[in-house]
Amino acid sequence: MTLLASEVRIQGSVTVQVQYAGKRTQAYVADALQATASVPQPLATTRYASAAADIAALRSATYATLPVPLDERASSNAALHEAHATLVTARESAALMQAAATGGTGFASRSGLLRQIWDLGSASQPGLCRSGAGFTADPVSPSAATEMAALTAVMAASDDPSFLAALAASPEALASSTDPVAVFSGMRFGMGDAQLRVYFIGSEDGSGQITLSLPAAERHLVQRDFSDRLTVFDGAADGLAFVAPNGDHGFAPLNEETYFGEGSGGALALLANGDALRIGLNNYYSPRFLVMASYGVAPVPEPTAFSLMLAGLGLIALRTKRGRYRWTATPAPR
Amino acid sequence: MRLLALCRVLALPVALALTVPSAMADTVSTNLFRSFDFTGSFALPIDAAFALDGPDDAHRLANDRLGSWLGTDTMIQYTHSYGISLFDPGVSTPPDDNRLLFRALSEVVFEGGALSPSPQSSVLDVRWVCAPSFLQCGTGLVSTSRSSSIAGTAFATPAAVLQGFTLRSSA
Repeated sequence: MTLLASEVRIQGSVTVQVQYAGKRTQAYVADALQATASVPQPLATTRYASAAADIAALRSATYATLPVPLDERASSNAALHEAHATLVTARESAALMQAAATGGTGFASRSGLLRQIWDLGSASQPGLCRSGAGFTADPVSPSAATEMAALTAVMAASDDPSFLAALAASPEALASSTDPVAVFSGMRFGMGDAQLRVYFIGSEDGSGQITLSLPAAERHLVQRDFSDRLTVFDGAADGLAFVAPNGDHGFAPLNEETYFGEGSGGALALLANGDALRIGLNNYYSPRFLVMASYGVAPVPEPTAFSLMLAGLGLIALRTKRGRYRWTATPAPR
Repeated sequence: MRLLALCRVLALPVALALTVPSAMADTVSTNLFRSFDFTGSFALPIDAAFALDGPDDAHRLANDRLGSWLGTDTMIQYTHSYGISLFDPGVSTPPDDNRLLFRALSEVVFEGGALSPSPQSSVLDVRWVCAPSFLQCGTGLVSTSRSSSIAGTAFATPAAVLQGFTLRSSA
C-alpha cells in the first residue's frame, strides 16, 4: 500500500466571554482622571474635557462580537453613564465659571441647573450680551444629584483629589425641599453681589403649587420654568411689585394668585424693597431645580455674634425676670 | 385568616424583590469570537499559534476600567479532519469482508494560556478499508473528520487568556 498524499486540517472557532462587576460612579470618575492625569492642573475646562472624552471613548468602544444582553453592555451601565455625566457636567461647570470670569457670551449644557444659572446671569446682567444657554451634543443627561455634585465639586476643587473628595461627600440623591439645596455667591457666576439659591423642589400634594420663604432683600430674580402665577403670602401689607419675564411691570396683592405670563424662560423679578417674603409659584408638579438670585440681602449676624447677642438678650431677660420676682415676692408695704 | 398569614409571609420577599436591584444589573459582559483554519499533512504537521494579544483583545478580555474581573469562559469548537490518497495494488480474489488498506492515528494537541486546563488533545484513530467484493480501490482523496470542543473556565487572571494557544498535529 502506498500513501500518495495526505491532508490534515483543523478548523474551528474560539469564543471568549468575560464578566466584570461594575464599579461605583466615583470609581469610574477616578479612573478617567487617572487615565488623563497628564493633562495639566489646576483644574479647568480642559482638565474635565479630557477626562470626559476618555470616559466617552470607554463607553462607546466595541466590546463584543456576539450579542450581549442590553443591561450588561458597557454603554448601558448606569454607574458608567453617571460617571460620564459627572465629568461632562464638571466640564460645563468649569466652562460656566470661566465664562463668568472672562465675560464669555455663549454657553451650552444638558444640565438644567447650569442652564438656569447661566440664563439667570444673562437676565441679571444684560450688559454682558449673553445669549440663552443651549444644549451640548454629549449623549448624557445627568441626574439631579449628579448635576449638583459635579457643580459643587468643581467649585470646591483645586486638584483631582479634592474634586474626588467633594464628589464623595455629595449626596447620592436629592430630596424635594423648600430649603435651598445650596447657596452660592453670585460672584462665581458673574452675578456680582447676588446670593444664589438653588432649590430642588416640587409640590408634595400634586397641585403644582410650591411655597418658598425668601430672606429680606432688595430684589430677587427667579428663573422661570413653566410657572406663570405668583402668590404672595407674606410681604409688605400693600403687596409686591414685580417685573414679568417679558418685561411688563405688575403688582401682586397679598394672598391673591397673580398671573405674570406664560412661557418657559426668562426671569421674574420680585421687587421686595427689603421685606422678607413668602411666595407661591405654580406648575412645579415634579421636583426640579429652581434657581434664584437675591440682591441686597439684609445682613444676618454671624453665628458667633448671633450667639453673643442671644446670650445678652437672655441675661437681660433673666435680670428682668429676677427683678420682677423680687418685686412680686416682697410683701407690699401696708 | 390563612390568606392574611400567607400575605404576611410573602410580604417581605416581595418587598425585597421590588427594592433590591438585580445582581446582574451591575455586570458588564464582553466577548470575542474568532475563527481559525490550519492545514498540514502527515509529512508537514500543523504547528501554529493562535494569538489573542492584540490591543482590541486586551481591551475586551482584560480591561479593569470596565470593572472588577469576575471570570472568563472560553470555548474552542473545532473539526479535526484528515484525508489520504492511497495506491491500492488490489487483490486477485474478491474478499468477503472489508479489506484494511491503511490505519492512521492522528493527534492534535492544544496548549496555552487560553486553555484551562492545558494541554488538551484530540486523537483520531481511523482505518481505511476497501469494501467487500471489490478487487481494488481508487486513488481519490478520502477524508474523515471529528468535531469536538474544549471549554475553559478556571483562569487565574484575566490576562491568562491573552496568551492564546498553540496547536500541533502529529500522525
